[in-house]
Amino acid sequence: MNTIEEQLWNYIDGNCTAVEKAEIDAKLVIDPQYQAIYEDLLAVNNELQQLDFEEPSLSFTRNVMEKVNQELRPVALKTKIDNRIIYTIAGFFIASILGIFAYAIVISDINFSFEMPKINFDTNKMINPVTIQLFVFIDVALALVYLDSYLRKGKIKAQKKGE
Amino acid sequence: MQQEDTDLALITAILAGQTADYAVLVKRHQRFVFTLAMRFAKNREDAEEIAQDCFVKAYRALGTFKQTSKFSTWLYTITYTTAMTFLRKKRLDTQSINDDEHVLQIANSGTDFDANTVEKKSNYAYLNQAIAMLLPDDAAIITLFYKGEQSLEEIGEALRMEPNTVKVKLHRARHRLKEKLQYLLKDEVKELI
Repeated sequence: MNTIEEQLWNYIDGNCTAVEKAEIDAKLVIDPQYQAIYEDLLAVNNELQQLDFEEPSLSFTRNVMEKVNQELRPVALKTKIDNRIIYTIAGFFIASILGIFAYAIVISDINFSFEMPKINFDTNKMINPVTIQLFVFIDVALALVYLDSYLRKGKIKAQKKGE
Repeated sequence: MQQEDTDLALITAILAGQTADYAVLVKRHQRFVFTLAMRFAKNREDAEEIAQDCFVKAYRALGTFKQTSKFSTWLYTITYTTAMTFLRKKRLDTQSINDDEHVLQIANSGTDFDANTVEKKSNYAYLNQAIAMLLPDDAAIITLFYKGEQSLEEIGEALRMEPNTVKVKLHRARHRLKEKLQYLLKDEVKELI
């Protein structure tokens, strides 16, 4: 289908923006061919709006109700639980956790003075061919994973758009 | 909106035990469900079976209706899945009838069937004939859009498609419908000559 028809269907359905609408309005005035397509589509649209329902048989409702009466009565799955019960249970657990935590602090012998450990890096030893190869390998692997996820996303998007 | 409120009120009453109220819901939606079923089944007997089956399934699952969407949208989802299951069971040929050969067969079968009354055919009959020549999905989208008072999002929900896909399919369905109508009307002119 050409894009002119798509534009015009959006216009007829009222799905285009104010700017698009103004553009189409202007085109309809100056372009007789464009207007002819519009009138063609509008005629189809008017026909479709007059579409009527099909009528089922007169015994349709009775037949359905006969079948329905043989079924078990439907029951709402949504059970009503008083929120206060949920809050009470949540409060109990929070109070218990806080109590245990406070008790553990009280009975423990905590010393907050802390000395940072000293780490000696020997960069010459760490940077060697093996670590460089490992680093490059991990980078390549991550790049491939990223590329794979990027391509998959594109494919899923295309599928979602349809055809 | 008023009707939707009433639908919800009826569902609440049914779930509370007033099961006879389900007949009101059936009466209210039966014409549309049957019309939608006709888009898939192509004959009244099968469409009636699909529509009845759909209402029975909806009754069984009424307790799971979340009431976050319209009852009609939920019901059309059931209709669509029921119709698809029915088609699979019946092993009907749901392949595209887009090619001219098929169009010719269908158009001819219509004219052969009632050649003497071609002149009496109304626009409505031609429109229905053209819709019957579309793919079931296309016919269902057109019906839902024009008669079901469903937005593109709601149609997407009912047919399990993205709204954008529904929009594209709706455009294409109308384009195909226009072609079928042109073909049928051309056929009518020939008959009249």
